[in-house]
This record gives sequence, structure tokens and C-alpha cells, in this order.
Amino acid sequence: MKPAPLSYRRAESVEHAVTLLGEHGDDARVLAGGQSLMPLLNMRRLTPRVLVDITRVPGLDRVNGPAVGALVTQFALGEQPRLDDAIGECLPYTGHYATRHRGTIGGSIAFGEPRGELPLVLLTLGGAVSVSSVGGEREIAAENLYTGAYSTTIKADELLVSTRWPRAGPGEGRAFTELAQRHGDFTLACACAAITVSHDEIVGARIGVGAVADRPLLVDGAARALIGGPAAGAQDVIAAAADATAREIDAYDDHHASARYRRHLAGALVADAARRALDRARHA
Amino acid sequence: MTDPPIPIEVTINGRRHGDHVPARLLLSDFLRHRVGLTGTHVGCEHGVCGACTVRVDGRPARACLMLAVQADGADVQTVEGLAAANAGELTELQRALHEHHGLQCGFCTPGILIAATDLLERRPDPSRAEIEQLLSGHICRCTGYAPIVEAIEQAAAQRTERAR
Repeated sequence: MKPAPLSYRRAESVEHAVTLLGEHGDDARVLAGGQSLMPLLNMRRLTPRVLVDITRVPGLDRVNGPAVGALVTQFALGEQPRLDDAIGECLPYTGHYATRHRGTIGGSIAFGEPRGELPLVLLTLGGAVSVSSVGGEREIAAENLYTGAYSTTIKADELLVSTRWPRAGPGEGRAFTELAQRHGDFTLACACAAITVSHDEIVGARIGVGAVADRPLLVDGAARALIGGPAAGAQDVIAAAADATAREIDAYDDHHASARYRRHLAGALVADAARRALDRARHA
Repeated sequence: MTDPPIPIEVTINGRRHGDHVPARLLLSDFLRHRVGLTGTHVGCEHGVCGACTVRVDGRPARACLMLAVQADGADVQTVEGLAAANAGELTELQRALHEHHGLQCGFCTPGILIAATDLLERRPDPSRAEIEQLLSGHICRCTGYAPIVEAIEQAAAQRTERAR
């Protein structure tokens, strides 16, 4: 299908983009890489009256330490030196080779796909986004970003300009994993772990799962099961974290998988991510 | 609210094309219906099948997930441009697909050629896993993929050989 008739505005700067968003509000959608938005326009699941194309706004395609500009593509981020382990592991699962060349980090985060890899990693790492409007700039912690499927606390007149991915601290290891029926397709479940070790003990853990609810989730029970456990020979606490995940989440049935299978899968993926994150933490 | 047609100028396979297009016209439809380059195939029109993959400013892109106005000022390469940029001869990759029977109906072939050409330029010696991951973004219902993987491996080997 083809998009419904619409009006196209090419933003020349962040100021120009937020002015356009301020003018058109809910009638407008921001067009970045378009790898999630354009399919919905083609299928007419979305029919915005105005598209604000930000792809030529200068300055948003830079990576500066933990700050990743909204227009950095998934492919470009993957080419960065000294890339975080969890980010590096999630990017190859994010869409396909060709879509990663256009799909942007800001777009992935702002779109709020509940099965998205990058939203889960941002949440698990305790990241944040910066949004701009005519009124100024503000930061939103990833934990306060998603309110449901494709729904965020970014307002209609705000533009996501940058994302922040905190670097691993001393003794911290991270990992990401997922299962999809076809590589690059929507995932059945994905998991991300960030684990900190000090003096042979697990002293910090953040465990996230994606694609099991209307937004990515932090699994507090899994983190609690790990914290205080031994850094070496941690099979028991990892198994407990997997069990806590399967218990804590409230997965759904669809034609790809049952809720029961999804809970089992999420637990298994948490165990895998936790094992590898812990291994990295011990050698960090 | 719709705008009058928007003037654009796009370089396609080295030739400039000026036109006035509605904002909602997809790049894939622009290439096929306005420019007449029907080598870019349209399968699913939502980015999944990969048949419409072209290169825009040297990077692969689903032509169905771009508006034609977004290509204003850009350099677009379609499957027709591969041989054209190779003195009119089929490229090594095109010949390898032919030799390995890497196509039957040929519907998916243009997108695969563009994506694999791009991969080989960036990763001269791709692993089998990298090739298979690349092909996960391109649906082929004829070949079972194995001959396509073999063809890309052969083209990569020939490239490496020549670089020695």
C-alpha cells in the first residue's frame, strides 16, 4: 500500500524542527530513518497530516562518549570502537543489514516498539534521552520513558535529540541475547543483564526483558536473586534469577508462541545473559 | 492538507533526473513508474522482503521505506547501475549468481545484488554467518538460499584474489 496524502517538511535545524512540531502538534510525526514509521504509513496504520523530516538536521549524527545523537544509524553505532558489550550484541539483531544503514538510534528509542532491542538495553543500562522543544531541553530517564506500546512520555511538540548510554563501571559486565524465528525479525523475547562484582561477590545487578509486555521491563526479582550471590560458581543464583523472571512477567499468547513458552524463554535468556555478563564482570 | 508536487533532482546510476513529485510518492514507485527503472522490484512494501533494496548515497536502503522527496539531491544506485558501472559487463557477483543457480524467478535478485555488493565493499572477506545474516533481510522462495550463499562466497574469494 501507499501512504495517505500528507504534507512534507524538511527541517534544517533542531530549532526549525521543534518550531514545526510546535505548530502541528499531534498532526505531525517526526521522520528519521523511517524503518519503523514508513511501514506504518504504507499500511495506513498511521496517517499523520505532516511529516517533519529531520534526516538532514546537522549535528545529530555524532557519538560523543556515552551520548549518541538521535540520527546516528544502527550500522554506524555498531562500527564505533570500544562499543559497550550489550549494545554491540543487540545491534546485529536490530532489523536487517539494509535497514540498519538507515534506522536510527533516536528513532528506535522514540518509536517505543515493545519488542525493540535498543529500548530494552537503554532501560537495563539505566540510560536516558534528551528532548528539545521550543520551551527548551529536558532529560527523561529510560525508566520513565515508556508508558505502553509505541507510547512514550515525549510530548508531541518535543524532539528526541540525543540518547545517553552509561558506560560500565568498575567490576561491571553486560550482555544481551534474544530469540527470533528469523534473524532480524521481531523477537519472541530478549534479555539484557548488567552485573557488578566486587571481592568475588555480586554486588549489583540490573536484569531487563523485552517483548513480553507492552514495554521493556526491569525484573527486580531476578536482580534480587543475583545480588549477594558468589561471583564464581553462581549457577544456583542464576537459576533463581531465571525462575524469578518466569514468575514475575505476565507474557501474552499469540500465533508465534504461547505465554507459557514466552515465560520459559525469557527465563532461559535471562540465565544466558546473566552468565555472560557475570563472566565479563569477573574479568573487568 | 497536501502540498503541490515538490521539485526534486535525483542522480540515478549516474544520470540526473528532475521531476515534481507528491510528498507521499515512495522512492520505489518513483524509480519504477516515473523513471522507468523496473529492475527495482516491489514485494511487500513494508521493508521485510528486501526486493526493493537500492543504494542511496552509497548506503543500502529499502526504496519502499523512503519518500522520493527524501532522495532529492542524492545519488541512487539501482540494480541497472551495477553492470553500467562495470563497463556494461555483469559484475563478478552477478556472474557468480548465474553460475551457482542463485536465482530462479529472479524477483528477489535485485535487492540481494545491491545488498551483497555493499557488504562485499565493506567486508571484503565476510564470514558465512555474516552472509547468512545479510540474506535474512531478503526473502527468496525459489532457491533455498544455499546457492546464493555460495555465489557471494565465490565473489568474495575472487575479490580477495584480485586484491593480492
